[in-house]
Amino acid sequence: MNLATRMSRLGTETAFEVLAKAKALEKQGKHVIHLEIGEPDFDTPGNIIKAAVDALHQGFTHYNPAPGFPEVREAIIAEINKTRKLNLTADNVVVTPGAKPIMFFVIMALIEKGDEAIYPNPGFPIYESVINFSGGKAVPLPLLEENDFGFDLDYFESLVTDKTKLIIINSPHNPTGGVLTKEQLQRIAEIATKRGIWVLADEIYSRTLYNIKHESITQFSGMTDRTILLDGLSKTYAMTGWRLGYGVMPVEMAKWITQMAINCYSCTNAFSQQAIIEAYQGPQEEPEKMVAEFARRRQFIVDGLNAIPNISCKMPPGAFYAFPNIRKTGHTSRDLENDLLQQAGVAVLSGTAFGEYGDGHLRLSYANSIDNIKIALERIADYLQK
Amino acid sequence: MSISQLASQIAESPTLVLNEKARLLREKGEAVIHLGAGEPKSKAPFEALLAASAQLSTAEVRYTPTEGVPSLIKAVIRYMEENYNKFVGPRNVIVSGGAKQSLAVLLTTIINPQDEVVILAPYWVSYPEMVKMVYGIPVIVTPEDGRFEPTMEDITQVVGSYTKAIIVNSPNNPSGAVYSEDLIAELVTYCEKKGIYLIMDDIYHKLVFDNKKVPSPYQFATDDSENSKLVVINGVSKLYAMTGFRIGWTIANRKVIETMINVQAQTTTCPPLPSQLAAVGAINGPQSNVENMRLTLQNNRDIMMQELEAFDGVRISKPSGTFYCLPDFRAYRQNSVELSDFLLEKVMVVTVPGGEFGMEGHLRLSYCGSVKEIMDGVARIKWALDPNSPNEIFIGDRKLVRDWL
Repeated sequence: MNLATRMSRLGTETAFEVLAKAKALEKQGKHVIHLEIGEPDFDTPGNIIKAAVDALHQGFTHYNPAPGFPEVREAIIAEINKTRKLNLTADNVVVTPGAKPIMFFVIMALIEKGDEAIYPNPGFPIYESVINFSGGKAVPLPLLEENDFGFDLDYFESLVTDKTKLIIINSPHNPTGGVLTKEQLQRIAEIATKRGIWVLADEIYSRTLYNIKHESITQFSGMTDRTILLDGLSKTYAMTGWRLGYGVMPVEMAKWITQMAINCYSCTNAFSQQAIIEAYQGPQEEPEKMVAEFARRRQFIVDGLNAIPNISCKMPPGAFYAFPNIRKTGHTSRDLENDLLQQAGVAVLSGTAFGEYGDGHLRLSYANSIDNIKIALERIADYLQK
Repeated sequence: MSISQLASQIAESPTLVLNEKARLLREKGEAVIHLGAGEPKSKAPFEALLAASAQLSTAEVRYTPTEGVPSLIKAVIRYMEENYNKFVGPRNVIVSGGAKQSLAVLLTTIINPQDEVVILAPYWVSYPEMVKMVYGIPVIVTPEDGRFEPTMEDITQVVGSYTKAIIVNSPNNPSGAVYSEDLIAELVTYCEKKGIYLIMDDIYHKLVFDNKKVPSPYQFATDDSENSKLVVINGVSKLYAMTGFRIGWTIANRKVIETMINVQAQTTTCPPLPSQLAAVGAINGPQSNVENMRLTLQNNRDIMMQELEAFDGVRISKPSGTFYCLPDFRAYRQNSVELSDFLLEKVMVVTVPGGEFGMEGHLRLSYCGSVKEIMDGVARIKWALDPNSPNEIFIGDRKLVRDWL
């Protein structure tokens, strides 16, 4: 078949592959506990649903401006200004169908052959994949357990060259649940400023934090001029299927990103988008309850993992993933991912699905009930004792 | 700002820029008439609204498979059977966030840098930009003076070893032309012989007038295998007045679909779930809305033609489909951008310059609005351009006196 050669540079997102394999097993009658997908299992709050249904019946069924409805962008920037203590305007916002287009557009807008982008490894697989796709060089920054999955700043600085055009950071971080400290962010900001480098700050898990407050790199002087802050509704309000994300960036960059959006999909779904206003301006008890429930599960799953011989798991400060070290089990991550699914009926992801430096780990999403997590832990323990 | 070559060479969408200009003027209270619109104002079908509301009310609005939920894939398969007499399998279908995303994902999948894509003028403004976005080279075929349908000779002259695909959009935006069955048949045969992709952008295929019917390209195809490079793109936007839902789809061979799924997975994950179910509601529901809209548009077209015929210097070519026409204004102005700006400034009528569609000297006028908008809009244009028209006109409650001409 006569396809574009760049297709060979495009990776895949293993989570959805494992999900498909798990679904196939379920079809054959096998029972599988799903800990592979990064999708909250909660319902979208009722007030948000009502807002979308109202919008649907009010006729928000037509094209809308490519960067989003002005009133929606106002609501978003009010939220961002409040939570990140900034003073930006709606012109800095581009609404997108999910947050992934922001990654894709930013990388495609900045990186081409001869450019370098530094990205976290292990990290969300799309970063590396899209950098490769753009023709630029993907430079991995290892996030290691011994550094609490944070940046080794000296090593990071040694990776920066004159070709470095973009640094991707993701705090709270998928898959490790780690966060970058204020001091680390400050140093990254200093280096980015000194070397004239753009920062893509993926803050999609900014509200899924346990007992600490979110720190954004945008707080440091001059950083809003060189940062694309990515956030969205999927994880915070259990709205994955709505496809609502956005980027906050300098106005000139917003213009380029809008241009690409126009030529890729015209605009974001109209009635869903209207619900963003209610999500941010309405009551916040539901998302707070979700985080409280995640906190309970986090404790449960981390304790449970540490009780299994040869597995050790650090307590992740954010996101809803546990990233246990499984090296002492004698299995590779990839084999364990496969065997747990096929033989134990537990769908998890190999750390290598997030890059080579994820080797020796598994990612378990605790976006599932305590009851199911309990069964999953028992199955894993049983399997390893065999 | 140091931006990639890719991003910097993509032009703005002129139609969206015009929409924004019109919106700002309206906000100021100006009596703008929008003959530049790209969508019917109609309500979405009740079944679509109901299906989306019902899905939302479950509160479980989760990720879906990247290619779309099975019920929508099934509805699309049935749609293909009913409207194209073509049986496709579920692995020949991918649903995207609007037909534009369908095309963008397809081009990303098949076009290599420097590959050429043949585009037939007049063409939809986005095609050349979308080809450039994947580092391809748009090659424009412009038919001889005044015609809106190219000949095979025009097309074969530009096809060479770098040609990867031909994009066909019939019924055509911006001209409203419906290509002849012969041309479609020849294109299918020719592309099969040459081994190039034939991309049929069929988004307006049911909005045709005077009992015409758009032929199914599959009836001319001899290669029915999984090697076929015939691709059909369609969606619910224009047909059901559902532009804001963002649902389109692509029918192609399995290998292309499989690769498109990976591209889409990395750019948007999946189309929004409530919209997908709304599309199922629209496709499987009663189709009376479509026929009503088609009849309304046909009537609007007749009125638009009648008004334009009374307008001496304008050459018209009667559209057989869509809700656009592309009259030739070269008797008044050569530069369509200047003319369009002039009309917006002087008489508050939004038109789209033909130059944007590869047809300089023309204006695209939409007739998907009300009859009154069509009549008043053309009357205002006539007043602004035709020295034989009386030199006073009322716009809203303002009397304008023409001090040019």
